[in-house]
Amino acid sequence: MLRTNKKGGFIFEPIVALGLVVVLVYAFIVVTNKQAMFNERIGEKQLKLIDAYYQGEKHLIYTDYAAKLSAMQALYDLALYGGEIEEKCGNYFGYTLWSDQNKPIGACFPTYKDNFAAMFEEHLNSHFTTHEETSVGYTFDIKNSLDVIGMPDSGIDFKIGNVNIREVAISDFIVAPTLNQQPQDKKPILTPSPQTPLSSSCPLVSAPRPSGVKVDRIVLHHTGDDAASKTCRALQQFGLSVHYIIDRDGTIVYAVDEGKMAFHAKGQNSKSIGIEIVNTGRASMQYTPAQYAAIKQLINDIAKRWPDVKVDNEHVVAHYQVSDIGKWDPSPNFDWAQIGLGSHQTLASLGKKAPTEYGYA
Amino acid sequence: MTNTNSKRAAIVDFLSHFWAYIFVAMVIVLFAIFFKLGQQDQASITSLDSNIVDSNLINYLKTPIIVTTGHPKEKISVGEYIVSYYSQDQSTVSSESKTQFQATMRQQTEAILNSRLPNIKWKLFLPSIDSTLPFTLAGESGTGDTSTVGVVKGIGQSCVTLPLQNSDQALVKLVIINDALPASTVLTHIKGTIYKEYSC
Repeated sequence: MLRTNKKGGFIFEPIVALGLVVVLVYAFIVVTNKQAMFNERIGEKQLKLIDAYYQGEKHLIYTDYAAKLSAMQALYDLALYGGEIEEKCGNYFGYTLWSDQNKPIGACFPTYKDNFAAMFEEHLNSHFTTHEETSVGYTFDIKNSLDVIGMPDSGIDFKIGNVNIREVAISDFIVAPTLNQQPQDKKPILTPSPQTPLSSSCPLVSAPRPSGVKVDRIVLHHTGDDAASKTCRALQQFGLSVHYIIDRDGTIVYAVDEGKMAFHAKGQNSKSIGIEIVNTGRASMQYTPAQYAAIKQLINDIAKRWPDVKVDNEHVVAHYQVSDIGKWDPSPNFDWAQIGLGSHQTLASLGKKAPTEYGYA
Repeated sequence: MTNTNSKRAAIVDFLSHFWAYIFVAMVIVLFAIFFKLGQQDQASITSLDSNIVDSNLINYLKTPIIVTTGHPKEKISVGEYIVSYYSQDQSTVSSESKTQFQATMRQQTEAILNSRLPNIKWKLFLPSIDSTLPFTLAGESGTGDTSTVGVVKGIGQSCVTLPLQNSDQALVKLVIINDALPASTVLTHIKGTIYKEYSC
């Protein structure tokens, strides 16, 4: 009370009181609002690290099983039709050739291990395609007993909290193909049931389509002769195939089930349906109106059965568009406008030429 | 002068009780802080629940079992057994095989998880093996006393995606439920996240 008699003391206490009230009000607002008192809760970071560990374990389980399945399927493919389906050294009645004496060693697959490795990688990638989080890329080695040892090219990143990034390394996998499982013949995406009238057939070699690959295109060829029967015999002799052959009179000859893979265009077989159009390829031979009508009918029919095949310039392609080894079929006489694809890329627009011995300038 | 004196007396009176007011306010604020921290701990416990479920599901998938359907008997992990079964074209699997798979899974799953999670209510789901349901219940906790509050405080769930031969995938989901929760909460959760969506 003595201080209240002094002017300075009388002012001091209300100021202190006011200051404390302000502090308390601020503290109350902080506590009652949803504003975080601390950036992270107690132990939150540790829990997130543990969570990242388990996420890594889950990815590892996926990778491990995918590798086992891929190894099994690659072995099965190797036994079924010689292995790698995209023939790099050609094939013999549908069976893959691993090497070609006419090519330098190493150009193809010199050993069954190389072939196995190519198939294994293809199957493994198809699993990673459907599970993108695990797709970090693997380098793998194959030991003598066909043990596959894989090493990741990088780790998988896990986001911990809002800003911090931690990398959890995915360990290597070692796969011996011991999974108790019967590999499968790969099933077609759809059961093909051609609606187009088929007047004759020509049985040709085929193979199961690889799993995970979508059929999304039609590849057109010309046969190089003047009758479907000749084409059929030639294809049988050389171990090649297409799904359909269009004869001069417009007859559609059925050769290979659409659900299976035919051997007609290197690098395209697994995802395409092949059609041969009977034509010698010479400048003097035109494609017939009946052939155009049959092709148009057939590709529209195929597009109905395969959802990724569209009737446009991107999905109906020429062999010369997808080959880099001098293919020029179908020949320049083929009029794309007749099948409703007038703006299609021509041989000339790609800077390629048809052989002069066939009568082209 | 009288008014002036009474105002002055009131101020003096307030100031004499000032520290008492401050003390009461501080007590209130401290209670609020403790309440807030308590809520955060509860959230941490819920995160811990998820880790516990993850751990159990991963260990479950890695557990070796003896499958008697093969010839001879073979020892594979639960995960491999699931991959092996679902990699088959389900339209070609006989009803006897489906029944046998369900029976084997139920027996093995309950043997494994009941030993790891005694007194805790759990359910394990697999993709449907027939078209009438969106999932298959592969096993659940026994009918014994599951009311004891275990380590799990709420509802924890964990999923693992397994690859299949045909490049498809199978989702395995483990759900652990604290029986002490109100039945309505559990029912809403199960209906919302499992029966309708069957996803994580």
